[in-house]
Amino acid sequence: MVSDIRKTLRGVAKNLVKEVDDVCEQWLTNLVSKIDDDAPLDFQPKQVNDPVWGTIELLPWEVAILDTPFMQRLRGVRQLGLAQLVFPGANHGRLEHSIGVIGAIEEATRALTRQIERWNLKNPDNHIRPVDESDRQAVRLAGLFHDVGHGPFSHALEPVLEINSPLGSKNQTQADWRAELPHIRAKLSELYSLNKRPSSSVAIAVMMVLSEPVHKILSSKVMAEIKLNAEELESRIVAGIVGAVEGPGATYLSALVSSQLDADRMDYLARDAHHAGLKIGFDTDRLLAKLEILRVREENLHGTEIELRTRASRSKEGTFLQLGIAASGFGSFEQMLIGRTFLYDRLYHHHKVRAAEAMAQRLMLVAERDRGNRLSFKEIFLGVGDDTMLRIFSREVQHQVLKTDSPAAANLASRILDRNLLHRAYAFRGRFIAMPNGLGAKEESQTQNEHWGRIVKTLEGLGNRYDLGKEIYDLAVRSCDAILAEDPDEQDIKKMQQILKEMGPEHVIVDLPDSKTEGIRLLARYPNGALRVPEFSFNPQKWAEAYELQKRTGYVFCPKDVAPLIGMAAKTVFLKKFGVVMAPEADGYIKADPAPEAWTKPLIAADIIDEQAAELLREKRHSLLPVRPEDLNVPSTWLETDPDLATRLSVDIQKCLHGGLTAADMKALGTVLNGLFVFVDAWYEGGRVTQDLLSEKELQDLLASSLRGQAIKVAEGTEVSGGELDLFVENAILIENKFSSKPKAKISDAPGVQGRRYAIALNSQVVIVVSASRAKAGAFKDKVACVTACPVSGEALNRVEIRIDLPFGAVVPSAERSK
Amino acid sequence: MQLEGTHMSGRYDKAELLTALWRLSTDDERLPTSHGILDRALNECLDALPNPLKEGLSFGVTGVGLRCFELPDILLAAQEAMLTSEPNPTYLSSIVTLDEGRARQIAIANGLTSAQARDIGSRLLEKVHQVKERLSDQLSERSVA
Repeated sequence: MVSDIRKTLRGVAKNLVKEVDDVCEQWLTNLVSKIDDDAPLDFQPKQVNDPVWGTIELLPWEVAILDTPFMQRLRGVRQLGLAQLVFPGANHGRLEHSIGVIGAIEEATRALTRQIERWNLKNPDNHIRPVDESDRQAVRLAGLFHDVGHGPFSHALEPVLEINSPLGSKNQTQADWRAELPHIRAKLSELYSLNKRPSSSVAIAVMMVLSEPVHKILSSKVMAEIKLNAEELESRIVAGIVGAVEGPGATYLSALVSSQLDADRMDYLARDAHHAGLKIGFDTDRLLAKLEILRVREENLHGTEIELRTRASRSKEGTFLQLGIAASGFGSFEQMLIGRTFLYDRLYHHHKVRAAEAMAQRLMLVAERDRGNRLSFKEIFLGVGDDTMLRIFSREVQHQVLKTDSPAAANLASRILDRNLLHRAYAFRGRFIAMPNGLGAKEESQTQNEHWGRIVKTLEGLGNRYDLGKEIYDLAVRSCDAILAEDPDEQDIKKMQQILKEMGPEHVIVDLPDSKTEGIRLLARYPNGALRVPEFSFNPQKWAEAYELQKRTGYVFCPKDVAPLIGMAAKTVFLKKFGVVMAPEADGYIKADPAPEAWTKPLIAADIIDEQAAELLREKRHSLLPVRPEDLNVPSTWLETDPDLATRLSVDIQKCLHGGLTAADMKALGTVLNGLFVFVDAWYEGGRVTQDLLSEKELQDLLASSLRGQAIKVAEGTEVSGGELDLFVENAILIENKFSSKPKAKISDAPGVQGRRYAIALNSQVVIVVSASRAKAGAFKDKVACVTACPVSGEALNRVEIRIDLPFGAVVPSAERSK
Repeated sequence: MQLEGTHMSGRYDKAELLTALWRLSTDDERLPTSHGILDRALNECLDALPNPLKEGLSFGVTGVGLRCFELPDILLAAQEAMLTSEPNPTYLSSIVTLDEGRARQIAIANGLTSAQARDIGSRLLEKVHQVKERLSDQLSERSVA
């Protein structure tokens, strides 16, 4: 099985294998040549000074691998991506971290060795096999290799690697190796029992370890001192990198490289805080002292661990070993998780760091879009540092492998290099969503939640975020034109118009920070000897999630000079798409000046927004209400026939409206629909279905009379849109009547308002069409099936047509028979 | 930056559907979020789950027993989208804040009738109860809150 790992994994990703082999060959050519030439290999151990672990001793074969471009390129891949733009000390690279992980592994294996010795002294008949040299050498190598799958800008690259169709360009060619990454991840999950699914960079690291040149090195005399053969060594390294629980090469030491309490985390937390200059303490010494090799047996496993009991029962001597923690170490473990949360908040999620990371992601996607094909593996793993990569994209430096001529990508790269980062133009957060007055606390919070849910769902993925940013940009351009049409001498706007033209939509970035999550995947030994998942009275992981969510704020970033305009456009687009207006509190997160009030009038004049929308955005400052089943007043007798009618209608209406309705329009809709349901009941029960109907006029008269009889305000059509046969009800809703003397499945659509160019119009969002058509012989719709909702014809705007199709002139069965 | 890989796609849709099924089949019962209870229940009634929820779910025996690898992401999405409460004091379960009307809307938008959704949710709930019962000898009352 061990020897199959390499064959199996390389077998499922032939294109990726070729790409990886090629770059690794280039990086390792000198070392491989020496091996091929049988040249003397004189690698000596080295001691390096490290700010976290003190002196770290590197073994000869580690030095051999370290002193190649394969590892040295990690020197330029900054551990914290672009955080150094905000925290100047946070300049450390992944090479330093990788060496640090060896230091952490060494400390951990020492601590475990001491613990094993203590156990073995106390339990002479029940020994735990000591950590031997091979174990130690293999796990150190896994630590050395664990980050080799990282490309430029560290984790910021991963979403770029995984996106299928960047920025919606139709002219993309998907490199085959990208498509194979998920296969590798899936295969690793199949081969190993894992605590979590491997990421793309982990999958790439595994394939690099299994590459031809690395295989050659691991099989060579460079490794002569290691007692494991190349296949065993590879499987141990792979098991460590993926944090395998069980599977080929997996031992309890695999968890030292990747798990919830691994050397990787122990190193980066301390190192990142140290270099960033943040005073966040981690009690690493105590954590190391509390690491334990747990002897997992059926009898000491807590009853909740059913599958582990099964695993123990089928293990040799009913026991398997697993890395865990003593309950007395919970405090340090909690401290680590909490410290990590503060690091996320202050360092990783700092708004300027986010702006820079988002710009780096954007520039790579834009470069790919503009040249019409994705970046190849060789171009991503160019072997140059982050800064050089930026200089290549900025076209300051030319590289023979990576060709890019995208002006937009170049501009973004130059901005990062000059620390001319994008600014916050608009802030959004769940708790900032402003609600209209008059809602109860529960309704207010549910509506807020519903709006926020729609926002976070829409912003899933870089492609969607780009689309939203582009929509904001396009609206800003239109707004400029409208303001200049009103006042051609508006100098500020002229300047902004020029900047918008030069920067393009690529410089408007909608960003919402990713939260992190992980279930507790660690076994703990309690004082009574029981092994179980730690049960914290205060679960720091859950607390961390809550803390992050409380502070999770999305931003729309753009160049500073156009921030007022982009901010205004963002507010409008968020109202249009999500129905939300953020409370004034959100403005406190933006440094840019708000858009002057004088800009509103030209936008109304240009039909970009209507009066109602402008009022909502400026004076009223609250969100729309999403349509709920109970808002529609569907009679209970109808719901007995079709229990889902109100829900289905509300879903269809909401789909068309996007954001929802103003509180006043929602009230009017409920009132009007209530009146219409009464009218339909009377239509069916009063025999109208079988009676004849002469004209549209007769239909309108019947309807108007019914509504007026229910004290609903009805205005005849000529007053509103010039047609004779329209009704305008409750000063909010247009009812259009349709008539056909012949049976028709559907009478023509209600007309949209022709030539509308609105970004958002809140006037007349709902059009109701009451249509009557002669019933087909034999059958006609039940009344509960006569109400439907659909988009208003010809419009992609936030308007809905609610349709009531009424039959008339149906032939009664006895009359039909007599014909 | 130490983000642990990217999230699964469609996690918000799954979070919506999971919480909607739960809301439609329970009164105010808390959604278990730890100790593998929901993981095991999902695994045991996988066939009954609607496709938009079950597609892409994978299960495996981790170092702490059987877990659904995607569930942490889905539960986090539920919390991000404010479908569930922030952790309650025990941090072992969550309150589904989604109201019934919205839950029905989510079910309908996913091609289910509310009766079908209620039925599926009941099966999931039943499995959760069975899993809890299996574990109840060992779990303290506090831990299954």
